[in-house]
Amino acid sequence: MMASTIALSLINGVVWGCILSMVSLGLTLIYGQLNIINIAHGAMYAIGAVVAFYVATFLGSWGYSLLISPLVMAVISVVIYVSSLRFRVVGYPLSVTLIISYGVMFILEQLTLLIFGGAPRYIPNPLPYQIGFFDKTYPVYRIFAALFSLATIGALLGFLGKTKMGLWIRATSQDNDTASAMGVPVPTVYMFTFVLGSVLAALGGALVSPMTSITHHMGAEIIIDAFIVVIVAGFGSIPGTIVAALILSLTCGFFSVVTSPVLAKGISLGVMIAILYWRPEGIMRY
Amino acid sequence: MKYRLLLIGIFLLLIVVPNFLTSFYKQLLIEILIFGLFSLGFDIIFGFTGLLNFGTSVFFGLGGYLALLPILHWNVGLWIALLITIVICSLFSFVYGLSISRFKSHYFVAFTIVVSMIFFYIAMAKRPLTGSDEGLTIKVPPLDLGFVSLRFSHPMVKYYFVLGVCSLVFFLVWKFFHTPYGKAIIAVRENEERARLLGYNTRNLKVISFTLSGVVSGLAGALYVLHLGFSSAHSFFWLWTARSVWWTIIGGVGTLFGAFVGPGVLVFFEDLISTWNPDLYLIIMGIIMILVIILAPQGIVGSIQTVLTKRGK
Repeated sequence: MMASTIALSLINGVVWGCILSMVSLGLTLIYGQLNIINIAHGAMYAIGAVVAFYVATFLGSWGYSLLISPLVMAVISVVIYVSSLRFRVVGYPLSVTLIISYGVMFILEQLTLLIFGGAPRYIPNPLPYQIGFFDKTYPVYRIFAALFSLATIGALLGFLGKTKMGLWIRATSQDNDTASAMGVPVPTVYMFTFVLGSVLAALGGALVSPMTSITHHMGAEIIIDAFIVVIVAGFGSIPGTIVAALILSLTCGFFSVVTSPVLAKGISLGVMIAILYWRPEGIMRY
Repeated sequence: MKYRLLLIGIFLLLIVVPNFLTSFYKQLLIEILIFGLFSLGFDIIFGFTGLLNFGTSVFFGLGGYLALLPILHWNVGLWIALLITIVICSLFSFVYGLSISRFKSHYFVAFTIVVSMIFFYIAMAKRPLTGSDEGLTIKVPPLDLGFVSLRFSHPMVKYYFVLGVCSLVFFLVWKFFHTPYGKAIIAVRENEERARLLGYNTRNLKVISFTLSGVVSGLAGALYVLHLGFSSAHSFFWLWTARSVWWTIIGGVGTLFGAFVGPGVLVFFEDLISTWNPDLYLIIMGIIMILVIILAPQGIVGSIQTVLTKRGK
C-alpha cells in the first residue's frame, strides 16, 4: 500500500519533471542567450493554459491548443521584445533586465485576470483513460504529457543542432561579437531566442491545463521552480536543466507522501539550494 | 547642505501635518512610513552594496513574527518585543549573509528568492506556530514611556511612535554611509575588484551591509505587525519583496530618502486607482516600472538631484 503510493508519487514526479524540463528549457535558452532571467515566464505559462481553456471551450477540442497557444504566445513575446527588452539587452546590469521582466509579469498576469476572471476553471480530460498499476490506476493523459514534453525537447535539440538558425543561436550564445563579425544577424537571433523560449512556456501551460485548475496566477509557483532549476543546471546547460528538473520534482513527489504537500515544496527547494551551495557553477558543465 | 535642510523641513512637516488629517489618511501615512522603512532595507543592500536581494520578504515576515510571538505567548511589553526582533534579526541576517557572501549576480538572486520561498512554505505548513494563511492576531500592548503608559491603538500615539522609529533609523543609516566604513561599502558597489585590491575586506563589508539591511527590514515587519495586530504566512510571500523593489526603484535607488518617497507616492496612487478600478493597479504599476527603469533609472529623488546639481553648475 505505502510502497505503491510512493511509487505513484515518484511517477508523478517524473511526469512533472518532464514538463518542468520543457518550461525551464525555455528559460535556459533566454538566460544563456540574452543573460536575462525572465520572471514573466510564469505568466506566459499561465497564458498558455488560459488560451488552451478557450480553445477547448470554443473549438470543442483541446488538441488544437498545442498549436494555437504557442502561436498566440509567439505574437505576445514579439510585442514584449520589441516594446521594451530590445532597448536593454546587451551590456546592461542584471537588475535592469530583471526589473523589466518583473514589470512585464505584472502586466501579463493582470491582463489575464481582466480577460479570464479570478475563478479557477477546468477543462475535461482529452484522454479519459486509466491504466492499472499494482492496486491503483494511473491516468493515461499524464503519460502522454510527459512523452509530448520529451518529444518537444528532442525536437528542440534537433533544431539547435541541425538547422542554420540553431547554429546561429549556439554561436551567438558563445560569443556575440564574433558571431556578429561572422555575419550572424545577432539582433534577429536574440528576438528569435526570446520568442522560442516564451513559446516553450506557453506549450507547457497548454499541456498542463487538463491536469490542474486554470487560474491567472498559476505561473507564480512554476516560475520559482524553473528559476532555481536553470540556476542549478549551470549557465545555459540543456542536459543540466533536465537533470535538475527531475531532481526537484522527484524530491517534491517523494516528500509530499512522507510529509505534507506544502512542506514538500519547501524541502525540495531546500535540496536545490543545498546543491547550489555545493556546486555553485552548476551540476553540468556542457 | 540644502539637502539636509530639506530633510529637516520634511521631518517637521511630518510632525505637524497629521493633526489636520482624517483618521483614514493617518493610517495611510503610518503605512507609508513603515513601507518606507522596509524599502530602506532594500535600498541598503541593493542601492548601496549592489547586491540584488530578491528575498527581502524573509526579514519582513521574520521581523513580524519575532514581535508577534513573544507578545502572544509571554505577554511581553512593546520595547522587549522590538528588542527581541532587533537582536534575533541581526543574528539571523548575519549568519544568512555570511553563508551567501560568496555568491554574486544571478546566483545571489536565485539564492535569496528561493530562501524566501522556503520560509513561505514552512510558515504555511507549520499552522500551530504561524497560523498559516489565516494568521495570528494579538492585542498590542501599551506603549510604556517610563512616566506614562499610552494606548498604542490610538492613531496619534501609533503615528508618532512609527515616525520616531523611522526617523531614528533613517538618521542612523544616513550617518553610517557617511562614515569611512559606510563609504567602503559604496566602493564595493562601484567596483569590488578594485576595493579588494585597495585592501578592503569586501566580504566583511558585504556581510555587514546585509545584516544592516536585514535588521532594518525586520524592524519594518515588526512595526507593520504592531500596526495591524496581525500577521500571517503571506508576509513571507515574494509579493512583499516585489513591493520593496518597486518602491525603491521608483523612489530612487541609492538615495535612502527615495525609499520613503516611493511608497509615499505609490500608496496614495494605489488608493486613487483602487477606488476607480483595482484590477488596473498592477498593470499601470508594471508599465511605470518599465518606463522608470528605461527612461529615468535614478527614480524620482535621483532625477530631482540630477536636475538640481545641473542647475547649480
